[in-house]
Amino acid sequence: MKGRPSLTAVLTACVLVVAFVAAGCEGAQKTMQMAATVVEQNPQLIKDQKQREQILAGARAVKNMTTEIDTPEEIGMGQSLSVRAFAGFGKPLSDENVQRYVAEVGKLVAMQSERPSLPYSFAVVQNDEPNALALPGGYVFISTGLLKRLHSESELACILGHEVCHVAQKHGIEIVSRDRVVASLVDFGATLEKDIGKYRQFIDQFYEKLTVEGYDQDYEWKADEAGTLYAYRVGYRPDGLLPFLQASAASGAQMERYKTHPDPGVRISKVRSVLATFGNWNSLPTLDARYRREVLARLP
Amino acid sequence: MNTAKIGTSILATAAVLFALTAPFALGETAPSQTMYARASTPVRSMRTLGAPMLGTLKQGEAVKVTGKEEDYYRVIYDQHVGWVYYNKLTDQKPEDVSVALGGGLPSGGIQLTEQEAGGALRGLSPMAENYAREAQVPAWAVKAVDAMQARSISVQQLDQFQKEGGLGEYRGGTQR
Repeated sequence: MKGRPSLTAVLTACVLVVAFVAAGCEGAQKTMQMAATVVEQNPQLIKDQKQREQILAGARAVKNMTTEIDTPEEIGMGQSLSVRAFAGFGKPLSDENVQRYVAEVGKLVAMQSERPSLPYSFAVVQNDEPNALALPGGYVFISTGLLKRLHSESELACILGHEVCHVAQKHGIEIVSRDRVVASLVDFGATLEKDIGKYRQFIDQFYEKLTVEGYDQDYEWKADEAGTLYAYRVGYRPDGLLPFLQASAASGAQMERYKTHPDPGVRISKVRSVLATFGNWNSLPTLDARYRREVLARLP
Repeated sequence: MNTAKIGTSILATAAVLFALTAPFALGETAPSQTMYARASTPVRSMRTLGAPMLGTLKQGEAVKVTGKEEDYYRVIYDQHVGWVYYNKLTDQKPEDVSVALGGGLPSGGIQLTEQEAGGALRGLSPMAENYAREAQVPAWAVKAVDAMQARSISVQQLDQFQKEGGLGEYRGGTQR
């Protein structure tokens, strides 16, 4: 019957919408868990067994990687990716004062995240491209090229907050777990240490996915929202993402890794809508003088 | 399939899911809510920065919150009313990372050298060491990872950093 497929499609969409709303928009992991539960408990919703199994398989792939990887494994994975990141991104800046300053700002915003007890690590790398990168386990990188384009500590706090959100909400793990080819390379419950060749392949493809494809629009928007909120909760003036986004919008060119980010104009209006919920924040400190002294005056 | 039954089923499922998740979407504090310290944080006897301290909450320690006035939560601490700056508490219990790391990586390897202020780590997991060897990553990159995670910043140092910047509790006046 012609009507059946469209009904199934509508029902599938309904299941995902119900699960997404019920999950409180907290990410693919929770949404897919909810979707799996709804489908499992109500097999009559999707009558076609093949379709039902496909939906459940997709949901389980996310569920497995995001729930089976515990914190030590996530940190181990983050370390592997970080080794790869340094090799590809650049050497660490040798000025320990700048490294420490960035780590202090980063740890303050990380403490306002959903995972305040994770041991976050921050590194400034020598690279003229304006780039930042967040890896699972709490490893956050920012380039000297991006630091030079910022004007204040509050802007740095919002940028680092954006990156911390990707870690705190496990966006990287969710993204790679959705890729069945990459996710299937490693079974974190059993064979993690047994096949180093596969593990290397997994890390290389994971890194490629994060740095070439980047986070999708939904994750970027969540990171903008959360990064702005974290910075505000620390006590910074929370509009620190706007100058960076406005520069991107004006130049018409997305910056390097940010080429996969959503349109800057849309991000600007969404950040403004978040700021509107904060009340009076105009007088909060930007700490531009401290940023000039601790970063801009010291960068080569 | 009976469309009416399907609709009923979806609505019933949605109702159950909403009922399960609604309490987490309420935000702010309901009366007598339990909250947890994001990091080691002082409990003061009055709602001002210089007020005498009743004690200190450890990271992850639970405290009963009975209200909020301006930027401070009113809490019950050691059977006394105390005050904690709002950004020091969260309604989700932070993971005890020392327990997680105490459980060990697949073969140990990482040591948590400091838990507070987000913590600091030493050592690479066997996973990372094996990866570096297999991928023939230069030695400096491995050292760089160890250096970035070993950069230790104490709660006191972070507090001083906020104080010098006039951030949060040190700003004076209210934020929201």
